[in-house]
Amino acid sequence: MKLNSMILAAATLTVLAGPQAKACGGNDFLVLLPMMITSGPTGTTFVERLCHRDELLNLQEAAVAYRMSGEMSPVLQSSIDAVQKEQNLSAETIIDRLVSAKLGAE
Amino acid sequence: MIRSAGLALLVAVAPQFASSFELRIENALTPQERSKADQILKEVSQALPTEMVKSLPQTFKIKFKNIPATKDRERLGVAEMFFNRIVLNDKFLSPTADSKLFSALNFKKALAHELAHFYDQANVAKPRLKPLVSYCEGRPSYEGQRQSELCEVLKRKSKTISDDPEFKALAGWVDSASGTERVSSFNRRLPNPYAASAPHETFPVFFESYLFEPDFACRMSAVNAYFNDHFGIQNDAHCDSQMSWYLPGEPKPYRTIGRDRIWAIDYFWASEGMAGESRFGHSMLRLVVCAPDRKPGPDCYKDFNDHIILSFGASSENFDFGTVSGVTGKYPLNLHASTFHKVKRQYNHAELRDLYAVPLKLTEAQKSRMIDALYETHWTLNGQYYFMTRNCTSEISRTLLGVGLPLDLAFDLKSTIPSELFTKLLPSALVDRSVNSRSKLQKNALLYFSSSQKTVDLALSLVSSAAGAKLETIDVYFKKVNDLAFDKLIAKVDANEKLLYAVYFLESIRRDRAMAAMARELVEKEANVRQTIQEAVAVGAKGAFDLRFPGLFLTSARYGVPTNDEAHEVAGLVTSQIAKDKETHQALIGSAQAILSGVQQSFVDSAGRMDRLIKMIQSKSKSTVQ
Repeated sequence: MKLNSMILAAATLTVLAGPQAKACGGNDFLVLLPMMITSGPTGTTFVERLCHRDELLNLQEAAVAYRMSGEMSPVLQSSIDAVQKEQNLSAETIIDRLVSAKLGAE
Repeated sequence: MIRSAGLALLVAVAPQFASSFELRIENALTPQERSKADQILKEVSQALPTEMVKSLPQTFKIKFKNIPATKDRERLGVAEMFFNRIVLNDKFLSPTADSKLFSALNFKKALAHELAHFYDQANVAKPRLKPLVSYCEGRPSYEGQRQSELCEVLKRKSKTISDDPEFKALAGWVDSASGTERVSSFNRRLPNPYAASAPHETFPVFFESYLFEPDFACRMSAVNAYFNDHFGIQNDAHCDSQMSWYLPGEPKPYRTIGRDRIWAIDYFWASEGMAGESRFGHSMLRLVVCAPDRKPGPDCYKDFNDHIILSFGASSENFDFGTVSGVTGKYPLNLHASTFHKVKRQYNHAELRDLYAVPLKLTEAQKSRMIDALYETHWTLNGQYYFMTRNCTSEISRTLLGVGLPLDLAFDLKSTIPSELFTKLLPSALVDRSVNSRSKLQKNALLYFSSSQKTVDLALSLVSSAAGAKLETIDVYFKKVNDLAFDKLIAKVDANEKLLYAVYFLESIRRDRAMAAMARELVEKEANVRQTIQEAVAVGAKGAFDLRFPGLFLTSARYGVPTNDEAHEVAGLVTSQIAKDKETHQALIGSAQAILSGVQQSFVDSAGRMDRLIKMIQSKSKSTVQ
């Protein structure tokens, strides 16, 4: 068994019992994906999937990229539009919150 | 017992054939038997598609006799091709026979089944195949010139439907070098397991259900559409439009959507990876599902949160994939569904691979059949994965073959290699010219998702400019940007805000790597930690394996796709199974969690770089509440 697989799988497994999982609402369970999981070249071993974590991590990266390049990706724009339908927030506020959210290593 | 003489029954079928199509009972029957038999023969004949009757012999002899059962099953009928005779089990006429097995419905189905064999045997040439057959026959097969695979298939074709590549693809049969072999385990949830006993039995079994079971149209919609198309029948089934897709690992693992919200289907290709098994990329499909408040249309491409990615993949009980096992079919093959964001995260970020979405130019009928075929496969395929021959790409090719594309196009797209299918698709008639190359796709932000390497490179270039030194890779950054260099960079961010975000991004990667290294070191050094983690992973892997495929929770009492009630029942079973697993392994999960939490808590960002950066970002916040 590959070490990296073990670590991430275990990290994911721990979410089952974690307080954050309970915050996800009704169906607050996770299932480990049946696939090889390895530590990525960018070092994401500790990034476990939780609630909409994949989405938030993608958006955080897109938000940082936007701040560096000034180019808004459709993925980021789409989520901003979705948030703005629900909340009275400016695009810049949403981007600020995404950039500084502690997601990766919590 | 007095038996009536064997009189011919002139069956009332479509008016133009009423005078010619004849089912003639050979036996002498009692009046009661005769009445029952006549009624069944009449109902079957009336139910037969007109196009089928045209191609059948116009006179059939029907004989009732005792047909001995085999050791496995009762035999209900036999088609005697040479004599144009159908032999039916005489228990259908007996008042004392098993009333369930020898019911009126099964009587009708048995007769329809045998008639289907005759129709199949006739090898009726459908109009759409004729030009292809002519083309293939006209091609000289001189030395050194191999016939195309399609021509070979058409040349060997000896049955009307059983040999039709499109039907075989829908029914789960694949050609091998040695002839036809079954896609293993694609025999779940069939109207009758007998359908999977041989390639030529599938059509008759499906056909009898098609004729006499009203819910066949909804349970096997893709096959139903194929039959309607084949027989020229307009038969609008009123099926539940809601579909439940199983997305393991998501907070809400069952996503129910209306099928009319699927705007398009894309071939979704992850580019080549560094690992050996990913050097040809990975083939997937994207269902472009529209957001609930969006009117279906091209803008649905922006609804990333609603898109569903489908991927044919292997599963292992312990996360360990061996090459030999992969080649010899030891791993199960299922059609997995995931969110767009999960797949994007995995490929773009964790594996630094690009993702390309190639919209498939399908007609409404083809799209509809493809959605149905994929949905049925999602719920019923529990096959065997073969690394070289039955994999993510072969199964997508097979799906495309079954949706009614022109056969020459579908055969041109046959492949077992992801990068090859991507390359074949782009110039094909299935892809619009506006997006038929890598470079064109790369210019479309709704269809191309670059790897995180692009973000890393951008950050490195910004830092390099500010530092006045070329930092080509992230490892060079880690090495050269020590505390002193970091402070110097930070001093420049007031005048260069982009630099702040570049440093923040690169430092977040440094932090993640450091924590991963700490965890690895701990596991390597501490035997008890290693054991706990190994046990936790084994439990998690086994749980994931057992819950990989929703069809495992469906009973075999019914067939095809589940109704929404059945799907909800499965969702409940999966939820309760997970809860049970959690309870059983609570102590182990707690220990593993404690170990990893400990690593996370003991990690100290010595220079407090991330905290400093976040504070600086917050102080520069551009946001204002509207």
